[in-house]
Amino acid sequence: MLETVVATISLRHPVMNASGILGTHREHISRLVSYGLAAVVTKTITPEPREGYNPPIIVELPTGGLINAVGLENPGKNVIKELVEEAKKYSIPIIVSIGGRNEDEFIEVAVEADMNKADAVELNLSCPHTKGYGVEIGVDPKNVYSVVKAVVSTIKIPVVAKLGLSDRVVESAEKALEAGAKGLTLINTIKAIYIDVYSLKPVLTNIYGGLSGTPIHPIAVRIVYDVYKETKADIIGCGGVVNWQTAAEMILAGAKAIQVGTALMRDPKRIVEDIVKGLSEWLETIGIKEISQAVGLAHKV
Amino acid sequence: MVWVPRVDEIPLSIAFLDNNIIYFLFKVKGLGTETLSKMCKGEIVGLKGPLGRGFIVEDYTKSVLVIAGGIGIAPIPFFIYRSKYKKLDVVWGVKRREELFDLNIFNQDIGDRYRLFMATEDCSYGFCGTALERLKNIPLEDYDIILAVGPQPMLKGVCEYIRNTNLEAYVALETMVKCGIGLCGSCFIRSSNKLLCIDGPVFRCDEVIQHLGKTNNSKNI
Ligand SMILES: Cc1cc2nc3c(=O)[nH]c(=O)nc-3n(C[C@H](O)[C@H](O)[C@H](O)COP(=O)(O)OP(=O)(O)OC[C@H]3O[C@@H](n4cnc5c(N)ncnc54)[C@H](O)[C@@H]3O)c2cc1C
Ligand SMILES: Cc1cc2nc3c(=O)[nH]c(=O)nc-3n(C[C@H](O)[C@H](O)[C@H](O)COP(=O)(O)O)c2cc1C
Ligand code: FES
Repeated sequence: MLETVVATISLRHPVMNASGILGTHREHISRLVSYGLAAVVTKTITPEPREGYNPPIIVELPTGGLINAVGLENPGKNVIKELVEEAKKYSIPIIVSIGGRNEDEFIEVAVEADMNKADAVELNLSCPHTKGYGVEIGVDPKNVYSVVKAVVSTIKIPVVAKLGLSDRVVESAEKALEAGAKGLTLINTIKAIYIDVYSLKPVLTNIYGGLSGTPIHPIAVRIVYDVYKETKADIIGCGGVVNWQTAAEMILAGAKAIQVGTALMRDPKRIVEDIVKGLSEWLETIGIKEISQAVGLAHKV
Repeated sequence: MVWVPRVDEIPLSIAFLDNNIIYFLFKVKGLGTETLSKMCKGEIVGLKGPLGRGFIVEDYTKSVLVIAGGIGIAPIPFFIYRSKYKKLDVVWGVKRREELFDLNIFNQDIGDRYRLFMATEDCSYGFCGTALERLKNIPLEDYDIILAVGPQPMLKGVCEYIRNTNLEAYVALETMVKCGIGLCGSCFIRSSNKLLCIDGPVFRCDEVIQHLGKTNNSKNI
């Protein structure tokens, strides 16, 4: 009853990891598989290797959630081959997340993912804390269109656009779909700062980071809701999913699948199991046979 | 992990814990540890942790052998204090005698709970040679558990040396710890699906022998 299809990818249940949770080395893929996910998403890969920021790169907020500024650390596009190979060993779909500073860089990595037969690419158009990568592109619907178009016209595998919070997110979503994106991942982290009141200083080396986890969930649900309402697109809901209830909200708002990031920091196997089991029980409770029938139900008011 | 504001956040082991005071023993390597070494009473650092899984022995029937190389000795005073065992011997090897210090500085009482065998590579104190060479002069039949803490080549040497014995063998590894909470992946153990910051830093030799065989990945990307 939990089988779902998103951006043409068939999943045995709707839960995958969010990009940036492990996903840069072969060893990470087998660990993610051990969490019980239906598909794995790689860390955002850029053409060349990138060193991230120095620690502290992640701070846990006393009020819940995280702020991170990892800095898109990754081994570069050559790692894609081993990541895809590893996922295939477990017969699990793999989505390669891609970052770039311009169309050519996105294309360069996308071609590598295509060549190695990844199941899809997810274009990270929304990283809030690494200058030149992501959010500058994602907030401008015209740029979203041109990057998505450039990638879609170069590769054969499906393209998913990952967007973040912005005033024009619905417009950006429409442009991504118009350019040929098969799906949308909504949302990325939200730019934020955490200051330590004893040392009187921002904690993260990069000062700014991206807020994730519970605090962003209602915002993510709102964006999924707004975008679904206007587009009825295939949406992967992401942001503050920590249990079956927060996942179910995403589905009711219009998501066909779910990504979990921050919540994987504690007891990841149990979290995934709880979401999957909780969703089946929930469908039974509300008398729905297939999860696809629950997608976007909150719009029928 | 210890946060040195606006400089670095570095993984350090708890060397001792007493009356709400946490003690660290560390060696100055680069900017982070250097800045930390120059901090004075009243200055503020941040703490995240404890991370990973602690490691102690809790079995009065077991005899334990610890082999520490250099600053690998850092967690040992606390390990001795908290563990329960029949017998505990510590082999501690350093390059020069200046690196040695009194392991009982935090708590004099632990002094009666172990025997210490020291080795210096420049032959200035104790056994002349490395910790691993000193280990090779010790009858392993006397022990049930061995724990090695120190540089990667030493850990590899220990795991290989005891391979055909019945010892329960553990090593405390070091990889690049950046987030400490299992998300960034920088601390992964090669050829395994383990993360040092969650599953470690202490592993059984057989869990990490392939990792130890590869080049040091404290620089991981
Ligand atoms: C679980 C664990 C426990 C440790 N416990 C102790 C201890 O009790 N006492 C002690 O003296 N040292 C300990 N270390 C090593 C210590 O963390 C490094 O020496 C320290 O981070 C160096 O920082 P730096 O800024 O002074 O030097 P840098 O110039 O930043 O680095 C010097 C070298 O230290 C290592 N290193 C740097 N950053 C990290 C990092 N984030 N994670 C792991 N290694 C790093 C690298 O090999 C690097 O080449 C431990 C390491 C780990 C992983
Ligand atoms: C440590 C960390 C690293 C991340 N790295 C990336 C990344 O490389 N690419 C990306 O598109 N999103 C990245 N994200 C954002 C997540 O994919 C996700 O969009 C966000 O965290 C919201 O989901 P969550 O609340 O479940 O964590 C990262 C998030 C975290 C916490
Ligand atoms: S240090 Fe980030 S996963 Fe272990």
